Amino acid sequence: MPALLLGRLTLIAACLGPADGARVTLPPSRLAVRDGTAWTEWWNSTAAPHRYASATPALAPRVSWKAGAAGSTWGELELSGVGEAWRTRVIVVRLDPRRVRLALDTAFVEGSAAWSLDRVAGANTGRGAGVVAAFNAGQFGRSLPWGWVQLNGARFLRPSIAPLVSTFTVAAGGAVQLVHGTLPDTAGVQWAFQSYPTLLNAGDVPLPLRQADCGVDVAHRDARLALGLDAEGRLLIAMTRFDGMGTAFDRAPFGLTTPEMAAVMGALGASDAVLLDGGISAQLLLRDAAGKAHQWPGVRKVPLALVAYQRPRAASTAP
Amino acid sequence: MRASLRNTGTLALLFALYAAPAQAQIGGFIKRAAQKAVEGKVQEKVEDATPVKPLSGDPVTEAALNGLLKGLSLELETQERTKQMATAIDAKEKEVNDAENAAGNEPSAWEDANRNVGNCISNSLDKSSAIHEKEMPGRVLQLTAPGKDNTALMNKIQSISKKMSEAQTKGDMDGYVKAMGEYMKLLGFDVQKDSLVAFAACGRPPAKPASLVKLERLKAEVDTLNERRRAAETESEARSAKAAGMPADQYALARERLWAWSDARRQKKTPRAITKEEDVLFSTRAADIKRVESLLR
Repeated sequence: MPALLLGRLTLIAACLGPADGARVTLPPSRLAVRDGTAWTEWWNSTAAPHRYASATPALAPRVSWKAGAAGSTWGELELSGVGEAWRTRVIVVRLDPRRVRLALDTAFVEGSAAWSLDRVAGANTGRGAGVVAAFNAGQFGRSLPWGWVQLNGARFLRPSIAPLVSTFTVAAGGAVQLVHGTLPDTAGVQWAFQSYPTLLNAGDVPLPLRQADCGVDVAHRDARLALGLDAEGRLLIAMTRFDGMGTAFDRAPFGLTTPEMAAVMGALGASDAVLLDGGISAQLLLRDAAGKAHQWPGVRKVPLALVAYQRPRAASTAP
Repeated sequence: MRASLRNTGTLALLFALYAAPAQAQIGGFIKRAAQKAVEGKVQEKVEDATPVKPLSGDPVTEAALNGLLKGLSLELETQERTKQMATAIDAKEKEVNDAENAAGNEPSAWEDANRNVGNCISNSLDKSSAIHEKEMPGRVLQLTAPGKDNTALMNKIQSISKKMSEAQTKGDMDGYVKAMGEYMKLLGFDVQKDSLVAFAACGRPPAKPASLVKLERLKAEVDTLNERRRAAETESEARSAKAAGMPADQYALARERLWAWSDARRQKKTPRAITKEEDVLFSTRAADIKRVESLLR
């Protein structure tokens, strides 16, 4: 989804509501997860939780977790929803920031955004060496990311602040933060980007994602990519792909609504989460334990990506 | 930021009640508090915006495609300008790299020296601040002792409090610092003397080397150019949507659908993200689309 669209939705999101106090509820939708041969409904717009205190038993255990490259695990879920979401595959990656080194990567050619998974796909050479996972980061305009971008300790683009904007930062020592609606302290920040809308703030689903007419389009469906942090401080990345015809249609930008994506992140155990640019921008690479790269490419090249590298092993001390 | 704003608000209130927190009394502390006040106001302004209901992405009709192609043609015209801006930024970044290489260790040596002096000054001011804090209740009692006519004092304090509040609202850091200095003076504290004591003990902060001044100037120029480029792109998006006769959100979604079709065509695959009707429509207008294809990569 283009930055422009979400920009109008969320940068100015405020829930005014009708004068009589009645709220416009979410459009009817529900999500079921495949459990063997059966489908189990785990979320319904009529009774959507406002808060996720921990991973939801109905969803999180359904992820078939596999060992990824060092510091990562990954898995997949099959969801069934309404309309274009009737078959949605969710690819989930968990990264331990204590075991991976996070960095942002940019690429431009003649002023146009030029980053794609190809840049990090080679396992042993160039930029791909040591890559555990990579995905597009932030929201994008024509060729530049929206909001604050900090690259290797230096500011690349200036920050923006709004209620549903989240800021992801990586400190020089590797500590990560996802801060919502305000700017974190910029001192010591090595890498940073901003995105929107916030999906979860300390477990809470923001009000504009819980009802219609609050400035966020809660009905629009699109391919989604979200970044979250769980209670243990691990990064949780979830990407949706249309799964209606096997992998043949997997790049079609069908998918979940923003409230549904908030539910996915909360039910998977994220306490804080934000949506990243989805639609034709969404792209994800992860490497499994055997070193094989699994790729879900996007249609467009993007200006910014978050890349997780294997941390070099600590030098062993002589006995 | 929210917390900072709250703290600063409390700070102003406390001043009005004759009890200034030690951390914000003098020198850098006052500036820091003022800075927070300014940042807080910036955030408040953003939050005042009004919501807009967007349109969702409908399949592109012939009329919409005509509009979209108009918009894209306009984008083509501005694409060259943004490319030139990108080239200028690349050149300026090269200047930054060259300046960094030429400066060698000079900037980091200055930063170390400046930090050391800064820490020493900060510690000295902390000590002075702690003394003032101890003396503060006595001074306040002295000034407001029963039987004294406090009217003039109260008026003065109210006037200072108002100045501080106004400066905070305007985001005027200098005004805020000045008003806070007036308040300290009213209580009989000599802020300048504290600074002189600190400088005597620690020395003055070292002068910034020319190499660092140059580096900072170049970096600021890169920053400005990047923001100009981003602003130019945003402006181009808005103008193109207007030319297309669509709301910006609808234009962006239609553009994305055409992009998906164009990408599939390039890869000689069946377009999957759009409807069959759109595929037919886009195929019949392939020649027109070809003219703007450079925008869809």
